[in-house]
Amino acid sequence: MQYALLIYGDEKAWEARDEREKQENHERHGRFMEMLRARGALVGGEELNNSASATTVRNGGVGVTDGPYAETAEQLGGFYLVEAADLDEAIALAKQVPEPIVEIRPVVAHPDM
Amino acid sequence: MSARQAVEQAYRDEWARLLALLVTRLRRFDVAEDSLQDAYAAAARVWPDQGVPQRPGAWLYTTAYRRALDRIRRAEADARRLPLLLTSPPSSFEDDNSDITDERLRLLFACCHPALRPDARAALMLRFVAGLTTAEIARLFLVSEPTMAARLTRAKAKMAVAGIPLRRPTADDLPERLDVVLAVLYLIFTEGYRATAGPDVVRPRLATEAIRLGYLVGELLPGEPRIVALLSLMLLQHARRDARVAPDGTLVLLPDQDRVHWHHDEIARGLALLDVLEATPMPGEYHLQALIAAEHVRAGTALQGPGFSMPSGGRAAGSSMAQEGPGFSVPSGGRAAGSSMAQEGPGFSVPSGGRAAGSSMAQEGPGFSVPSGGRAAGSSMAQEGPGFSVPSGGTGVGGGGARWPRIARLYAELERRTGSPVVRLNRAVAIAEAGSPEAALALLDGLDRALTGNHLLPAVRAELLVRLDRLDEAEAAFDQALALVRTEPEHAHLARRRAALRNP
Repeated sequence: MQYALLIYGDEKAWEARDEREKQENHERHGRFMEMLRARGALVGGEELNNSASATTVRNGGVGVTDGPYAETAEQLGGFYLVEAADLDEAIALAKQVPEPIVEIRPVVAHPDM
Repeated sequence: MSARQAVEQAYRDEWARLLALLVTRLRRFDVAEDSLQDAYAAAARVWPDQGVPQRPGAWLYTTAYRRALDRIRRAEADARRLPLLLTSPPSSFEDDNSDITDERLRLLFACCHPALRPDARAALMLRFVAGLTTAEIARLFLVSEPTMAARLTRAKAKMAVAGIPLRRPTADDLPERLDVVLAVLYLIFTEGYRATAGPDVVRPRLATEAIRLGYLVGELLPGEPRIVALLSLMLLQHARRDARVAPDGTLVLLPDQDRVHWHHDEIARGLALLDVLEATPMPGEYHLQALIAAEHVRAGTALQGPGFSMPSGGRAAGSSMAQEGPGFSVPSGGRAAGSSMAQEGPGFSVPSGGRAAGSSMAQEGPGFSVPSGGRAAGSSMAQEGPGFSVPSGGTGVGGGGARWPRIARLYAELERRTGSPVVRLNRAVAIAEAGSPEAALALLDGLDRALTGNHLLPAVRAELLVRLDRLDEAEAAFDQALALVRTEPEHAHLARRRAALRNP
């Protein structure tokens, strides 16, 4: 199965980090991705720009609005797409993501598309 | 045995393990469940004519497995996109239990997966591990059958879509996962004693199921001290079930319970399990709770002396051991006599008014003692949530004999582990019973925020103030508690206590 590991966190805290902290975090993610590659579990993943840069499209509703979909303290900051046998394996991977909050979502397989 | 009885017996004996086998082999909860249902229906039709098969379990398994394959093929043919995954003939059905232990364990851990909601875990456990029907589970949880069916359907869908595995947790995961299993068992257990608006004050069947499941888990994972501790705790609390409800269906508070109706064999079993744990160096939370329950039960059972009459006790006398016996009756007590919690025993009779007036900490009243686990007011359970509930053996049980300083120490240890405000409340009650109401009152400071809206805190505070003879403050605290209390018996109890302040 494929799972998306969605990384949530406090954007203010992220932005308040100094260069050294950013670099260290970057390296931790690098090591995490190495581990995923070594297991053949890495499908993809990206860091997202902050929620201030977000635009939300509500089709059929109010149309296009500035900002993220949900105005909460924790925002989606990035994601990994991983291959795991089951939820327990996905949880084990999520526990190694060097971020405080990770939401796991199974990816829907669309064989016809 | 008639064919009909054979079907019924096969349902009792085989349903749960057949389901575990089918679920783990088919990896489809819904299909396994429906197919097994079909197989039993087929048995009810076929066995009366063709006779009961020599191995009913094997017959049912084979029938269910064939039905399941039909269902899956049909569903896949409808979907027309997935290849046939299951083409093999039915795996052999073994009568020995070597395999099934593992399969039931896998099912157990899947039902108690932390990714499921606590109420869903409890419902899944009762359905797939204990083998109750959806209708039965709905009745036990006081919800409608469609509501429970929807809850189970959602949970099964989450299991399938999220990829919750049917396998034993790894050695690393086991401690954490076992915690969840134990919390689920205890949630099921305490649910049976939660005071609710339902027609039944207590639903002992839920507690019985939890204990049955506890034994099963103990068999599946032998030598696990936390399971032993939880079983002991449940047995000690459940052993008093029949003394808890009056013929008219109302709750009987502990001091009024007739110990003749305690199940002493179960108490003995609970105490024996505790003995098994004696060497455990660091007692866990359930173990501490079981030790507290044991203190109360031992106090209650050890004290049945021959008729013994006691001087109307003041607070000091309250903690002497001697105050019970058959035929003993409590003099209508004033506040001062209150803490003679000795008021239990076979043949015990309370003069009217005696209870209310004489009541004190010791009288586990709804609204006063911080029960949980087991009894009356149980509302603390509800507020605690799974895994947190803090049962006590009953603050009131036979207080005369209870070793309150030891109980207070056990609560202190439990509080250190859990940080639970309800445990602290219980600890305060124990400290008051041990003779230090001032110290107890001081312990309540700082609980207001954690227990906002909970009537137990002002109720306990009121009783402590009564003991300290600060009646105006006590009255105010009773008023606070009365404004918050939600169940009728508790309200009545608090109102009686308040009225007794001025008319002892």
